[in-house]
Amino acid sequence: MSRADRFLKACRGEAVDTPPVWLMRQAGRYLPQYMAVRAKTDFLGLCKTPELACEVTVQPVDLIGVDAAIIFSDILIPVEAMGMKLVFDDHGPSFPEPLRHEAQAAALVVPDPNEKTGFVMEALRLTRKALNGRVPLIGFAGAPYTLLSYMVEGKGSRNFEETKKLLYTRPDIAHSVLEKLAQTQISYLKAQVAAGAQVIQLFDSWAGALAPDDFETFAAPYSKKILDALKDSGVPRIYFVLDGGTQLPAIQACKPDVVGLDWRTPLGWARGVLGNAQAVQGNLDPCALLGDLPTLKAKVKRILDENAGRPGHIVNLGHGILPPTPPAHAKAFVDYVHELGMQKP
Amino acid sequence: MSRIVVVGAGIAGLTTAYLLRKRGADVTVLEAGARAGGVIRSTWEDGMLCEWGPQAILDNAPETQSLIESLGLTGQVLRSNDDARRRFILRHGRFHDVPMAPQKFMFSPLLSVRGRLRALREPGVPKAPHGMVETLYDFGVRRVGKEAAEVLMDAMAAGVFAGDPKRMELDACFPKVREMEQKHGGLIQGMMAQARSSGGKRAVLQSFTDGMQTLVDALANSLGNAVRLHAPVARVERDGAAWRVVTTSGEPLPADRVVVATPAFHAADLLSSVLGAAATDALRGIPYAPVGVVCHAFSEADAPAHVRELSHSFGFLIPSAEAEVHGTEILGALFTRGAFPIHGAHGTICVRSLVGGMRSPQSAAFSDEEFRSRVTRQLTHLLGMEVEPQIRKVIRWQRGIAQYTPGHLNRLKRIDAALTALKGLYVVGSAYRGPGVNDCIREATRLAAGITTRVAVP
Repeated sequence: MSRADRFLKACRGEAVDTPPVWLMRQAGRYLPQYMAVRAKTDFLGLCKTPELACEVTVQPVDLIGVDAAIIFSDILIPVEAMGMKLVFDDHGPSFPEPLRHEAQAAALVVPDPNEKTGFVMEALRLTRKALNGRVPLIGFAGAPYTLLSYMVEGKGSRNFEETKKLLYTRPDIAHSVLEKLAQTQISYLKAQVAAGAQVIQLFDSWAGALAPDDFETFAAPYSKKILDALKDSGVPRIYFVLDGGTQLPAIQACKPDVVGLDWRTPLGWARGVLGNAQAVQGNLDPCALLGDLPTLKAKVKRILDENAGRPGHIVNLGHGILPPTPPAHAKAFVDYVHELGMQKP
Repeated sequence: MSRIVVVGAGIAGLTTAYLLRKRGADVTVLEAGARAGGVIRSTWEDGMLCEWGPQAILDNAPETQSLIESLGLTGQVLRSNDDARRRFILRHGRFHDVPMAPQKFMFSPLLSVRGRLRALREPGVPKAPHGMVETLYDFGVRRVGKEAAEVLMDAMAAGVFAGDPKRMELDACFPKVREMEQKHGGLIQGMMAQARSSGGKRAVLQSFTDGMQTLVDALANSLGNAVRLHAPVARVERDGAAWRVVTTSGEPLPADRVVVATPAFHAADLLSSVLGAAATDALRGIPYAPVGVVCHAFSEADAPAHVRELSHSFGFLIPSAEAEVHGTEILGALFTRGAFPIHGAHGTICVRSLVGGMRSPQSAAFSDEEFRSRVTRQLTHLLGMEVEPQIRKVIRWQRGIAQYTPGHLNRLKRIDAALTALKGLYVVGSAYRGPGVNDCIREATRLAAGITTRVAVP
């Protein structure tokens, strides 16, 4: 079995030589080589220049040895295409005119992904060529609820007061935006698959902030709609909800092929809840890459032991890799997974 | 409150302890080994769920079903799919569907035309005289003829007991089969009556998402500190009207009631000083078959079409005569994913071979290395594979499955007589009234219900 097969096989619960491993946000600021490319332009410029996006997407495949590449982009790119003004500065992304009124919601469009975000598709095509079959390429999108929170708050938030005020006062507006977001993401992800994405991941970074009933009302149905729509595309579909440990049954009901787990969710316990029918992905604490290597190796072993040899395990971090991570530690993580994963009983 | 000591944390001991504790008894379980669960153990080995002991349970035992419910395990239960209804017998080098109905049997090439005609005369065979001790083999020859006995009864003996049909007491091993004869006049009539009374509802195989171990884990977790591991027992002694259980480290545990839920040969050692020679010899007289379990997996893509087809079943059995032709110690094999597809990686065929038994006890003496290579070679040959399957796990039980040899029911009588006279001392487990998980749970449930958990205040 080759490195090229591992990831796709594990997504489908097939036999593998070792669990595959990749890192969320693996094309990112912890890599000096990424910073060198990034210096040529700004963040949005990097997203929108297919040659550069391709270059940074491939970097960790060569430098870190991961078993999958994930296209360099941002979950807010299609939201900009829907008509929201998007700014990236030193504090990260923000919407200077957050969505607070019915008229703003009504003005949002469902964009044609090739017309408005053709640079993402071009980056995918270039990257598939550059990877030349070495490892599979992941496309991705934000889940509707997470995007709604960004749009309403205007930026990241601790308590999501504005979003929840909207949910609890004007759920009709929330649902109308969530529906448009779902439609947007369906065509956006289908276009990514057409452009060469071999797996898709739906990121729900903020849905973990929802109470269980709200998760089932405002997050799960829209995520499920997207996952369902992508089923016929034939590519494995990963659904990652940060802080989603207590929502596992609702996440499972969305029927992804792979359930992404954050590091607060014990992997063995999650397997018990999910019942082994779906593959899982995760779930090292990203901060474990900031510690020493013997500790890191012990933590990798623990994650593999928690999975206990069940088929369908993709090793990953429980969230994105942090900028202060030493690249050598990211590489050690990947190497430990392969080394320990290949040790047969 | 009554102090009860249970010796042995297998399924029978754990179930007894769990049910007694639910009724308020002060229960301690002493387990010699490092883990609770006995032969029930399930481990994932590189994408295959390997069962060390029993593969699954049938859902037609009310005691087991109520235990599963009481433990809150209902959500983790797996039910086998329809493929698991198919079973095969290897004969003349071919895998034949086991015909499950008389009309299908008539057209099955599993037996010769002559053998089939003889077997179909079964309803006309007179009943055995009451109380006759008969082996499974003799019963088979008498009722269905020599050929059917040597194929069907032999396969049944191997599949359930890893046993030799010529050394199995029918009434002890398969009381329901005897009942079919006595009550309905024959097996064919009995099977038809059973089908009528069940209203067409057939029993379904069950396991759990992480295998059978889920059941014993839940029992052990519920019992918590009441289960003491690494606590081998040396003997059980009288202590006035009560009992004293002495561990090998010399610690005496006082008990009002003692349940010995170990294999019969251990029970004999523990109880020899209190039971008397007749009952102790009876316990020692229950032999155990050595059984090896070898788990193999291979890619569906590497398998010939007939093996892929065959793998959509519960598995196959090999009658002794056929095994001799092929020179194999394999009794039969189960397709792990045939019944429960999520118990192995997609795209793989997972095979769990049962090896040795009473038929080939010599296989227990092979070195691990030789055992592994023999079984792999034999399985490769039996399946007609070109690529050797990879071993995922090998488990070798030197004394695996209790054998109910002729005289078993008499042995039980002697054991019961001695225990009844003693009061407060009991044995339970797969050695006595059924080898299966459902049997053990049923017997443990009966036992627990019959033990008084209160002691009269003097």
